[in-house]
Amino acid sequence: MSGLQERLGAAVEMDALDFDGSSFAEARFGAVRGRVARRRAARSAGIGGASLVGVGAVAFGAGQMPWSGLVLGANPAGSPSVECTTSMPDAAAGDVPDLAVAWTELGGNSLWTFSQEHGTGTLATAHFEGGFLVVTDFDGKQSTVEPGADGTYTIKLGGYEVTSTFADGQDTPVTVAEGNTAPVMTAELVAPSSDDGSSPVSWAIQESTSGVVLATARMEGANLVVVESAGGTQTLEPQGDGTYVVQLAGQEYRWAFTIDGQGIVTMQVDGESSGSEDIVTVGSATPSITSVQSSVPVPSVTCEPVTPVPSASASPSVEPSTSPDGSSEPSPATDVDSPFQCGFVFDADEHGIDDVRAFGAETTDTAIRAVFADWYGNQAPTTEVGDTGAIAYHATLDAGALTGAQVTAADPASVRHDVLPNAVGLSFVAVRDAMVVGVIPTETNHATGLVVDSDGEGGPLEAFLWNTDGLTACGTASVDGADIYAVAGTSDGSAVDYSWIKVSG
Amino acid sequence: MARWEPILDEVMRERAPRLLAYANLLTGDATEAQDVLQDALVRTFSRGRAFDNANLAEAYVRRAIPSVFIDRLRKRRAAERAHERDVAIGGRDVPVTDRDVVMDVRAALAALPPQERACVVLRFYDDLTVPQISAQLSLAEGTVKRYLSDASGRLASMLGEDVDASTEATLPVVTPGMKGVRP
Repeated sequence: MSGLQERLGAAVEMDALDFDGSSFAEARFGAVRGRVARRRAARSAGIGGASLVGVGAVAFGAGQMPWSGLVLGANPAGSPSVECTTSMPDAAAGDVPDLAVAWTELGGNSLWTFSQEHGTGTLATAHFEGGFLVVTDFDGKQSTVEPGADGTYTIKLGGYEVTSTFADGQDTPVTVAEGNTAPVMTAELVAPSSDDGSSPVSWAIQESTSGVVLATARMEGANLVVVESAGGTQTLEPQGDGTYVVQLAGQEYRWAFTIDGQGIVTMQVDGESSGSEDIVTVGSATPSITSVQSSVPVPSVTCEPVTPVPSASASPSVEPSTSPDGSSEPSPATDVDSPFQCGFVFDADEHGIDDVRAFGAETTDTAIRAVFADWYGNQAPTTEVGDTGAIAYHATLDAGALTGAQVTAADPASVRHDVLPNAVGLSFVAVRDAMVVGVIPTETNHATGLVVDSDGEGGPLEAFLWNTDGLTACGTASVDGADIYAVAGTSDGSAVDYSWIKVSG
Repeated sequence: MARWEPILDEVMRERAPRLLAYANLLTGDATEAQDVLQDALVRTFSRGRAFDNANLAEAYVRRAIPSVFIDRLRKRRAAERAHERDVAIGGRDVPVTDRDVVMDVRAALAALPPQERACVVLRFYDDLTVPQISAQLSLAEGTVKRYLSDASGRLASMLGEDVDASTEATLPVVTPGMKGVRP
């Protein structure tokens, strides 16, 4: 055995000398990066099938969503904000800026998502029906596309023309070729979510076509702090000319920000790849375009001040409730109607409506490890989950409508529904005296000890909590010794149905 | 630039030679080794895990390579599998007079059916136990033992030395997770 082992080792050493890493990287880096970005985009949109979903895929809730900065940013209820809508002018195909896109197969139901590169989200879904390709765009508009004489399907989305080739007579795309694939992206700033001066003003850097938030930006002193939706934070010092240069979604794109004393922000999309200079000036109250110089169509921005109207569903919040006497001890809050929120009072240990019903029970970290080993194989987070037999928690939600839904660990009322209409959320909260005293924050990209995922197409959504350190106490409350409840919600874009179940004890 | 991209770039530029060499042990073909490594990179970096350094990422990529190799095999058409069996059968009949050729362990490996080759690499190069190989390749332990037994006989014939395919569980000398870690 040792002889063979030595020979194998020698073979590897010898071969390693012959292989050139730089050549490999130059030849394949773009392909690998693109595939990774697409898969991450599909997952972050919460639509990944089993083959696309891995550890952390939907584990960390809306914090991992591309639009998390917008959804979870500083936008206190009742404070005025500005809502911008974007329209893309029609243009001849030759004038349309290129778009880096890709199809991602969702699973066995012949459903694909059509996503931009660089993890910016889903633009459309498509499936075959009787030889036609049925495409639903991000506005929910559906169209039926006939194959051309050459068997290809030409699709127009948001001003972009894309040609995709599917295998003749098959239900899966064997070859996919998109037109206009040079990576060009336009983006815009969405106005500050708060302009009352009480909190740092942040802007969302929003991809123009899909409306997906690429990052959020805020000022900290003289520096511009950019938090990328795909992960990572850039703290930028001003350039010599007073602008801030940001690189997002790869090295191809650069944005320059100018901020003057009046809080006016100018964003310049550097035409490094397109040769265009798109100047969009966004005011603190009513943004408007002040200058556009471009050889390609740019989105028009219409912004109107709006005041949020309380909806039937609760806004997401992990802030502690404040009691009337000024202490931060949580108290029952009449305006809290989501079990994901501090202060929510359960009227029963278990609640569910029709097919929206959570199940759960205590388990052990060892059992969770076994599940992860089965689900994720050698990618299982064995270094994160203990093998001590310690108490852990498991919950499932068989909502029956996971396909195509945004799946998060956050309150589904907190996610935007303009990309995909339905959302499903599953998480845990700490409960004492029937009131929520601890929640798992979802602003960050990582929630300690929590994974929310599904074992493949059609499987129920499952949540695992093996470390209660991830539960953040509401105010001065303690989560030590508190009961653990699994909380779940499903949203169809207009209303949220919640369910919960006590899983501890 | 997304946070994972610099690590991906570093792994591809600096760690690719050893990863390709490892993949080449399994594939016996440099081009296919590149395809396997590419898929392993995609699989690893698509998981959403945040790698703090290239060492950790390399270790995960390396662990993904055998799985990717086997998965690719399973997806191939029956005709291709039949061809591979023909190659394997031919390998068994390599005459002793060609021993100089098959002394090259790579050639000997290439003569094995892919599944046996993967088991041999994981058993003798990675020093994994049968249960570990079974888990990594999603094969039954009995199947792994059979592959190792068959492969050992063929390798012994081709390499001219005994190959101890003992399936006793042994402690790995180097854990898979640390294989890619460098000082």
